[in-house]
Amino acid sequence: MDLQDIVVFIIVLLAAAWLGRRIYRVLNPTPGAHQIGACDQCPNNRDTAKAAQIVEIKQKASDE
Amino acid sequence: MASAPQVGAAEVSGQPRVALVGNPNTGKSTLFNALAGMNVRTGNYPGVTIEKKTGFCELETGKITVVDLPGTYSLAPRSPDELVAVEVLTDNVTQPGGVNLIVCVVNALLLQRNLFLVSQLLELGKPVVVALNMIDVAESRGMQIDVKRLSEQLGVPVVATSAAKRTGIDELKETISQQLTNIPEQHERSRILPPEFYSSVERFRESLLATSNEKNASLPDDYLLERMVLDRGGEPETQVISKFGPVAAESLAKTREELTKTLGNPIDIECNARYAWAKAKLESVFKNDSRPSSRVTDRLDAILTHRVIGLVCFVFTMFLIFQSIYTFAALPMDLIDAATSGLSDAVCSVMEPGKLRSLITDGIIAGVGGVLIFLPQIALLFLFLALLEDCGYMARAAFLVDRIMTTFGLSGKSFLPMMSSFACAVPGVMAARVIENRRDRFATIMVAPLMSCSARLPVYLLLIAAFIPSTTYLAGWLSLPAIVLMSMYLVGVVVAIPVAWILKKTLLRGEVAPFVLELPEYKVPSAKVVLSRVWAASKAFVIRAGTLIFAASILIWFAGFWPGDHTKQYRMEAELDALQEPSEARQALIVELNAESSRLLENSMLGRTGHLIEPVVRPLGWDWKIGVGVLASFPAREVIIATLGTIYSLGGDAEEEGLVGALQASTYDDGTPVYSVPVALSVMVFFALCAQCVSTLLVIRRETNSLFWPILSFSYMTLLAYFGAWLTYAVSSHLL
Repeated sequence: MDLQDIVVFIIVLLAAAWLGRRIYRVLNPTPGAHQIGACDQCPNNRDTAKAAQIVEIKQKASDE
Repeated sequence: MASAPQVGAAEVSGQPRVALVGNPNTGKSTLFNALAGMNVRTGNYPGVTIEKKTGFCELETGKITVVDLPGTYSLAPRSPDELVAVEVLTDNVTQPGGVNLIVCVVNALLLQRNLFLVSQLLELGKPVVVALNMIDVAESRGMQIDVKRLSEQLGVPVVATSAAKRTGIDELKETISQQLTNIPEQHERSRILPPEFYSSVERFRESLLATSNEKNASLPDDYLLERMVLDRGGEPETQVISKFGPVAAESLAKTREELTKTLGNPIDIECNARYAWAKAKLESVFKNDSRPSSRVTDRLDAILTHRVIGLVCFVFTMFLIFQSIYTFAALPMDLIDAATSGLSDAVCSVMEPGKLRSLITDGIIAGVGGVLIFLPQIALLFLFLALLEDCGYMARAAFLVDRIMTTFGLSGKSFLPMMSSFACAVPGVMAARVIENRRDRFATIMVAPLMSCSARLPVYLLLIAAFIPSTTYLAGWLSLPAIVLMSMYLVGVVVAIPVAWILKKTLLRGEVAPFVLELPEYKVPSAKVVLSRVWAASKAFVIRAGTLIFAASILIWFAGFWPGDHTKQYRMEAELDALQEPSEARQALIVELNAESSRLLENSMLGRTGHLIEPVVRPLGWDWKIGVGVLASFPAREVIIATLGTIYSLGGDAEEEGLVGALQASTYDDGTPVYSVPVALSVMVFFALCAQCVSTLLVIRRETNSLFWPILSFSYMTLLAYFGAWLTYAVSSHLL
C-alpha cells in the first residue's frame, strides 16, 4: 500500500464517518436550536413556536 | 386609574365585565394595556393574543373586569379556540357572569373592512362601544373621520383613540362607565342579513326544539344558530350535531338548501350584506380621502387582483422570472465552469495519474463543481422571490390562488406553506401550523412537498441545459428552456390539486374554512431585506455543496472506483499526458482509455448496483447510470448531479464540455444516445414528484404526531413519481 492509497483510504473513511454522523443527527434530532436537516435550508430550531419562513407574505403594519 | 397587573387572576363575581374584541393589527392588545395597565405581549403578527386574558380597570363608577379576546376578522368560529371567544360574547359559558359590554377596537385606516366584525357584534344583542383606534396614523395620512357622524350611523358610541400614544383612553373609560350604568334589560339585536335568512334560521330553531324537549335548555344562542346555517363545517355545527344527533344534521342541510335556492350561497349572502351595510354606514363619514399610497395600491390592485387579468399578470411575472434566471445567469455560470475546469487541469498538471488524482478530479471537483455551477441561478430565483415578497405582490398572489385552491378543497391559508415549500418543504410543512382546521392542515402538509424546492432546481437546470433547445419566442423575450423550467414547477402544483381533492374527499373529509388576508400597500422593496434573503439562500447552497455534496462525491467516487485494477488506466493516462499535441496516436489512445475506464466503472460497486436496478428503471427510458444516480439522491436530491458528474468523469466521458457535454455524448453500446428529450423530461418529472428528503418526512412525522402520514407521503409520492415519469416518457416518445 503506497502513500496515495493510505491518503485516499483516510479521506474516504472520514467522508463516510461524517456522512454517517450527519444521517444519525438527521434521524435523531436534538431538541432546541441545534438541529440539522438533510437540507441546509431547514430551520435550525424546529421546536420554535413560529416557523422561520424562507418565503413570507408581508402583512400590513400596525400601530405597534 | 389603572390597577396593578393581575393576569389570569380570578374574576370577581358581580363586577361588570367588558370584552375587548377586534381584528388583528388594530392595536387591541395595546389598548388593553392602556385600560388595564397589564403587561400583555403586543406585536404585528395577526392573532398575537392567543388566549383570553383578563385584567381590572378602575373607572369612576367602580372596578370592572376587562377581557382581552383573540384578534379575529369575523365571529365565525372554525375551531374550538374561536368558539370560546364567541361563547364568551354570547354568555354561552359555564363560568359565572357574562359579558356586560363589548368594546370593539377598529383600525381607523381600514374602517370599512373592520365594520364587518362590528356588524356581527351588533347582532349579539349586547351594548357595544367602538374604539376608533390608530386615529393619529389616519390623520397623519390626511384622513378626516367624522366620529360623531359615524356614531350616529352605527347607533353606538364611537371614541377616537390612539392606544400607542395613549390618547382618547380617558374618554373611552368615561364612555364605558356611562354605558355600564344604562344597560337595558334586553338589548335589541341588529338584523343586517336579508329577512329571508332570519326566517330560515327561525324554522331551523323550531325543528331543533321539536327533536327533544329535554335538550331545549342546551340550545345555543340565536347568533350561534345563525352561524350554524352560514358556516359549513364550523364549530357550532359540529357541537350541536354531536349533541342533537343526525336529525339536526338533516334539518341543517334542508335549511341550507332552502336558503341557497332563495338567496344563493350562504357565504356570499353574508359577505354581500355586511359589506353593503358597512358601505352605507360610512356614507359622509369621511370628510375627505387623500390617501396617496392607498390610491396607488388601489389602482394597482384593480389590475393585479382582477380574477382574469390578475392571473394573466401572475403567470407572466413567473415566466419573466424563469426567463431572467437563464438570461442573467449565463456569464457567472460560465465563469464557475471555467474555474472548475481550470482547477481540474491544474491538479492533473501537478499530480501523477493515480488514486488520489482520480479522487480529486473525478470525485470532488466533478461532483462539487457540477452542483456549484448552479449557484447564480439559485441566487437569482431567490432575488426575484424576495423582490416580489417585499414589494407586497406575494400577498396578491395568495389572494389570486385562493379561489382555485378553495375549489379543490384547500384552504387559502395553504398558500403560505406551499409558497414556502418552493424554497424548502421543511419550513413549508411547519408553516401549516397557521391552519387551525386539522383536516385542512394535514391536507396542506401532504401536498406541500410536491412543490419544487430549491434542491430540485439544479437537476432541472442540468437536464434543460443539456437537452432542451434554446428556441426563443416573442423577439427573444421568452425561451423554450424557461417554459420547460416553469412547467416543471407547475407539475407539482397541478398534481397537488387532485391529491388534495382526493384527500379532502376521503381521509380528510370536511368543509374548507374561509380565508382572510390583509393586503399590504405596495412599496419599494428594501435592498437590505432582499439582499439578506439572497445571501441566506446562496450561503445555504454553497455550504451544502461544500459539506454534504463534498462527502457524497467522495463516497460515490469510491463506489465507482472499487473494486478494479486501475494500473493499465494509469499507464494510459500518463502516456496521454506526455502526448500533448493532437495526433492519430493520441486519438487512438483516448478511445482505448475511455473503453478501459468504462469497463472499470461497469465492474465497480456502483456499476454492479446500477445494472441490478436497471430492469426497474428501463420502462422510464433510463440507463443504469441514471438509475444509480436517482437511487443515490434519495437522501438529498442534488446528489444525482454529483453522482452523474463522477460517473461520467470516471467513465472517461467528460472532456472539455463538462457534465452537460458528457450527457449529450453518452451512448449505448449500439451507438444510440442514452439521453433524449423524453428521457430528460422523464427524469425531471420523477424529481418533481418524488419524496427524496428525509428531513421533510421527519418533520411530517412531528407535525402530524403520527407515522401514518410520513409513510403515506413517501409511498404516494414515490408511486406518483414513477408513474408520472413512465407516462411522460411514453407520451413524449410518441410525440417528439
